[in-house]
Amino acid sequence: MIYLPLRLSVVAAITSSVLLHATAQGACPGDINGDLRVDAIDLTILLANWSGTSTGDLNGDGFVDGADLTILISLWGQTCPPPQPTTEIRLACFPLTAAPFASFVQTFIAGTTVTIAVDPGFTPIQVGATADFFVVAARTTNEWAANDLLTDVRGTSQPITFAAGGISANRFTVTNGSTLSGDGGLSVGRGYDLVIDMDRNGRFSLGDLIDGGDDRAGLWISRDPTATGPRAVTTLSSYTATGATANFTLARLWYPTTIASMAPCPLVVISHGNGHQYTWYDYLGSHLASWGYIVISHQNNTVPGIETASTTTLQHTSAIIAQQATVASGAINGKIDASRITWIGHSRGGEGIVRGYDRIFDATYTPTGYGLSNIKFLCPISPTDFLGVNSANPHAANFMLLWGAADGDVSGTPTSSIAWSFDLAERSVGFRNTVYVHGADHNDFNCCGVNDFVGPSGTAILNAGAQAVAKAFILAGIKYHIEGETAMKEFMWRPSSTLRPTGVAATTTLVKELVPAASASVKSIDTFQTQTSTTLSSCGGAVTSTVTNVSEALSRDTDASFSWSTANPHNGSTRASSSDTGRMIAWDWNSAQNMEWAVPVSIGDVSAMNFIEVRVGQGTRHPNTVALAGGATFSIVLRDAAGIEVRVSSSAQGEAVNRPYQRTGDGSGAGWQNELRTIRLRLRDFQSGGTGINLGQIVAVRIEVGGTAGSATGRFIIDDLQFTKE
Amino acid sequence: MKNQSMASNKLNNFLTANVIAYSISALSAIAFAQAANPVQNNPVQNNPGPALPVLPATPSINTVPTIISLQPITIKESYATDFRSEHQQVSSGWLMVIRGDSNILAPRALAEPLLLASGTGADGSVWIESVEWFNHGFISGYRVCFIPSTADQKSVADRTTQGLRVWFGSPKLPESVDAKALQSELMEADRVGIVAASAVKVEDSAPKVLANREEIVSAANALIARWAPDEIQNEGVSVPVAPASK
Repeated sequence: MIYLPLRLSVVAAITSSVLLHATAQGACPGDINGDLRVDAIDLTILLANWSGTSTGDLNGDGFVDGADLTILISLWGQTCPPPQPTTEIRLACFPLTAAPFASFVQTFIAGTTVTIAVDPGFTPIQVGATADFFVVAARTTNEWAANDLLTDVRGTSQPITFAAGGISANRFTVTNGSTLSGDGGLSVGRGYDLVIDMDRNGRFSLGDLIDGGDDRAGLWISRDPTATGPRAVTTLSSYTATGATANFTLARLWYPTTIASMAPCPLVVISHGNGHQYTWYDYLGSHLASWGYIVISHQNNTVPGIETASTTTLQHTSAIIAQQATVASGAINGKIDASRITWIGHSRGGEGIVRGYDRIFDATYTPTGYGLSNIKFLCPISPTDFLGVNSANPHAANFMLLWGAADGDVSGTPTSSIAWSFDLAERSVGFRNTVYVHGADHNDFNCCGVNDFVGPSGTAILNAGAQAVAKAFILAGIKYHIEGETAMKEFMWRPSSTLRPTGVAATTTLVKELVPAASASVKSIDTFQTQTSTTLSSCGGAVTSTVTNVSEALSRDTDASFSWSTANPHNGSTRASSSDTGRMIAWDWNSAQNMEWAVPVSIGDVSAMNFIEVRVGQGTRHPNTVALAGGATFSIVLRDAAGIEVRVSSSAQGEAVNRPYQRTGDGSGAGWQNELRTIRLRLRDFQSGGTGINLGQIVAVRIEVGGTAGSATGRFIIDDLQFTKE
Repeated sequence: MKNQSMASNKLNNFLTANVIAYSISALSAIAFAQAANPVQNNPVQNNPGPALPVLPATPSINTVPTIISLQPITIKESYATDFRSEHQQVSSGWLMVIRGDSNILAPRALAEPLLLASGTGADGSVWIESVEWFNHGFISGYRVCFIPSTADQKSVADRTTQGLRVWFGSPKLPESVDAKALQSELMEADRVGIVAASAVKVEDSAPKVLANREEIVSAANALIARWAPDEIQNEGVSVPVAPASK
């Protein structure tokens, strides 16, 4: 239970009469004076207000009359639970068919059904009591303190009645939820706070439940991030950048047509790949400009290599800042916010932007007009890795990688780590996420490159499919990192089955990782980096297991083939070139088995954390993976110091570890790289139904497979087991 | 075509590349004749059919393109080449057009075969250069290049076209290539028997004098407009290499 700081200020703002009224109408009808009993004092108050219109109006019909007296008498002698403070809980959810019966989330696509749920095992409610549910335009903490009046954006609140039967009996479809607007102007969505007005007084007051009482919106209705934004776009087909390398001076510019009336806009720079042209990214430039950004796509000197490519990115970024008074006849003059820059690079251009960032980081290049702190977001698409960790390192930059599983060029082949895009992601020590796109090839992410598709027949998603993914996730990343739209983060880890940009086909498989930057918001159990033993975790706890063929090693395929070999236990891992040190653990199972990590006391208090999460993928072409031939499920068990164990299944959340893309080549069998995805289970799910587990004293985390815990057989590659905050 | 397997093409492309490696020199006379009208020459020869061109399999190295033309150049303002890790200064060289197979010329994100040139100076010394190129030539079959005369080699004025060899070497980033790597490439070329071009058309035996590298780029762009118009990137005439329907 979270006690909001705002509670005191709200209490201070409301009058005693309101408190009386609230108590009477709320969790304990009949207790007019709030002494937790329905007795003669309440009867006296009611009679004293007979024919009045407020205090004593127990049924809320506007009059104190015989009907109210009847209610009071029916409850005569009742002892009431103590009044609760306002409570910040999660209400917005999508329903699950099995325990924990609801997955609490924030973001919904506009037009979809919204559900709320109250867990009686977690939040005290009175069975049979009716409360009013409000959807309110999102307010900050201070705004709630200043204004406790509940105004439902739907026009009227929604009465809900609590029932016996746990959380599954206390899920409520939000009336007209699918009509809630996601129009947030240049924001992709619009935020709402959700309030259960327990005392039905129309105000946010003692005992009420709220989702979004802090500065975070409880509910975020998102428009489709693949859709064109609200601003018309003006395109300058080409301009010449002063100071750029000869023959690489041209660039294309997109900006909101109404930019004259707008505040300065963040800058987005697109750097193409080798053999590509700067004119091939119109879909992305115009899309981002329609959402309020100034975007350029420039000629990129990729033939000599990555160093030259990075130079043109650095030069063009400086040039557009320096030339804004003259480019496009001065239309963008004073409108570039050079403190908020995004670099997007494709292929060699993708490695080029990382190299450019690294050059500034290493102080071997000093750009004009901006600096390292101004580059807020790096987004390589299918980047190469020629240079290795010392020269192509994103360090702590916010980082997102898009990669197509049918890429016939930067293919991820085990024969060459130059083709290992994920090396760059693994080097990131900042916030990073990746999107592994089944059916997309290298040049699906531009308009006009050669066809390099390599994948199973019928799986190609073509340019339209891949570009929809790029539009959605790049926009989500920019809005999150540049604009602080925190709700967009859910696009980065939730499965498509529960959150899918409308423009991305339901048949498109996206495998998503999200790894927050190491900080106070992370309590790491095992990164597999600092302890090489399979019986000791990086946080210092013992590791025990019953699983088989355990290997903790560099995440590197060592035999240049994706054919399964026991001599190559990290077969299919293409995330650590010869210059990298990223490690993971791999193991397999054929029955009910597990691996358990002891959690040291020093990190065992996870009551302030929100998730237990892990990156996990199936071992490609392993006999168990082949036998499973589908998504792999597992359970996570938490144990507290009192020995209480609670198990939550990934499958209950609709989560499974994807079957590897069934691409062939580079050895026998089908299945390409090990596709890691982040699976996050909300810690409160372990408390669902009143399990009694003490999140303040967790002593062990266990991953269970087989039997009733998950898939009967399989092989997992695992990394970054940790507790995280929202 | 979209779903065509790369693997299924691999063997054919490998064989094609090797056959071409040994026969293309002999076909140079035909190439000259075809070059008289380059627009009619492309792009269907390399990519038959209306569908999107498919990325060829990784090419076999040590293949030899046809030299279409050479123009000696000297520049008044030297520049540092990006096609060598040492970034040597360049003040002269040959502007060159070559014709090759799409297996070799296809743009790739991964390492492309180095384009190398070697010959003998007037004093009998052997030189080798990492050739700069300005377009890929995948669709047209024509690549516009510049053989620099780097500071540690002889000036173009000291070089002749006699015995000039141009070939595709190991896949590498040109910016990573140093003198030692070039010597290795030269030894490998000798080992596999890379032969000198049988006929080289020199546009003008006297070096054309330009101001700087920008003027070389301008001259190269003029050649691209003639030989590989699909790769022009100037304002208003940028042409995608694939149908819009992709």
